Amino acid sequence: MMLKSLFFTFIVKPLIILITGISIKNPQNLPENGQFIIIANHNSHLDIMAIMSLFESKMIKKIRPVAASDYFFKNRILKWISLHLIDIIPLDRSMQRSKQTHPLQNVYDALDKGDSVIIFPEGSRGDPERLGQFKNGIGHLAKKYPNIGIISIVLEETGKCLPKNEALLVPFIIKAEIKEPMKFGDHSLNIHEFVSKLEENFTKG
Amino acid sequence: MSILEPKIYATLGLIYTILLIAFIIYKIIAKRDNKEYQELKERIVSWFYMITFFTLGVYLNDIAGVIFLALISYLAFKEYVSLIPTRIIDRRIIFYGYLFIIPQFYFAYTQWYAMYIITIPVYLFLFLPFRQIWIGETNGFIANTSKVYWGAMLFIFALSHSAYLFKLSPINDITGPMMLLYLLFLTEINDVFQYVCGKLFGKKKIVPKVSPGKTTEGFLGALVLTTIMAILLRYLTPFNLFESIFAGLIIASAGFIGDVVVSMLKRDVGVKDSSNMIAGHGGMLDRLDSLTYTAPLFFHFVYYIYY
Repeated sequence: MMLKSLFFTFIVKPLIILITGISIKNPQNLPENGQFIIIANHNSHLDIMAIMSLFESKMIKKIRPVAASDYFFKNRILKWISLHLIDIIPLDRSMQRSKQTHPLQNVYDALDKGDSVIIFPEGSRGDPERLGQFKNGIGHLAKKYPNIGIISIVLEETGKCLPKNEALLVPFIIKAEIKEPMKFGDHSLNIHEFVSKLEENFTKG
Repeated sequence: MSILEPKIYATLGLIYTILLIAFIIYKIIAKRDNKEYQELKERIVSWFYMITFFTLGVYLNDIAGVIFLALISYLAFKEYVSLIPTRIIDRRIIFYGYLFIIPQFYFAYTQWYAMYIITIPVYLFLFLPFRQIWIGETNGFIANTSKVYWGAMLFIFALSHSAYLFKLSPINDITGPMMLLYLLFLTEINDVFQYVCGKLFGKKKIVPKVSPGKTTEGFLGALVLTTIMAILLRYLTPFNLFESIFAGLIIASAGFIGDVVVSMLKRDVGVKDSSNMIAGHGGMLDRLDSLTYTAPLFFHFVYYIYY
């Protein structure tokens, strides 16, 4: 993943810092090593870039965003960028009905390999500045890996910079609030309750 | 390469010396009180970085210098639009604020005075409402058009006077880069003087509702000290003694006003610092606040007398 490191260190990070800038709340909650699951609200294509830019270059290559393959593989250029430069974990949304393999299998494989993942539990990009309901997928994942910390990152303004279905980027300083990590293993809750707790933790000031 | 001018590198050397003395004084105080004074230390270290960035950005090449000043305007305007409440629908109007940075600094670079002086005040003013018609959102029309226009005036138009000053044609052996150094040094040191005089002698609050930390003693002390500096640094300008006193008074009082105006803005949105970009100082707006007023007023003073 040499290309990915170069891409983020020399292109994405400098551009994000220069064009938008990120103001981080509670940077001490950002892990400096180890494995973790990041969950964030999703309003813009900038979200992935902003989250990855929060980390040091040597960590970026082990952090992989989960992204819908029907969108990111829709043409060859985008597919190449997604696989080689961003190194996404493809999620096949249509497969959820066929039930042949588990829809989250690719995510499990990545976590088993020791990678960290970024997940947008709302599913797809929602209305900017409004949090959609979390899907249960994150709960299943948390249960399967009860000892991996889940870090919530609350992003603001990315939906204003580059909203869904817009090509014009208007710079605003992105705000990222990093919450303290939560582990499924630390609570005796069922999947549903745990997802509610994640949501609650996400929305509280 | 205006850095090769003896008057410029000597003045920059003087600024670094002052900074070094400040750092030594800080060390002595920190040792005496056995305390870290983290913020003071960060402030001094950040000054070092800012002066170095500025020197490298502005004094190596004229084109790079104007681009550097445009970039400062860009960062200030960005901080402003991120600070104030805006809606998603306002983004297209805000975009034109950013876009006008380019012609504004281009006209400053080419010294096309007529276009430079009306592009934002007149053409952006006429263009924004027109663009609003096109978007078609009548709700909040006055509020968001005004917000963008005000921000563009203060953080693009007003700050761009530094670029026009920088490119002014020389008067005998006095060049634009020298006068820019004079303006910036006096503007920033005036802030420092206000702070120090306020700490030492401050009693009476001058604008208690807006900036409770500002005192009459701080303002007056800085007015005197900045004017003395304006006389001493007169070698960077074509001014005679009387003109340099006048320039010092303009910079000290306008700097104070700019500072308080940006404080009003921050009070309105309910923050103390405009961001946390510069360690110990806050954001770009916290550092550029005084310059938004000193740059146009000092420029017009010079322009009126000599051009």
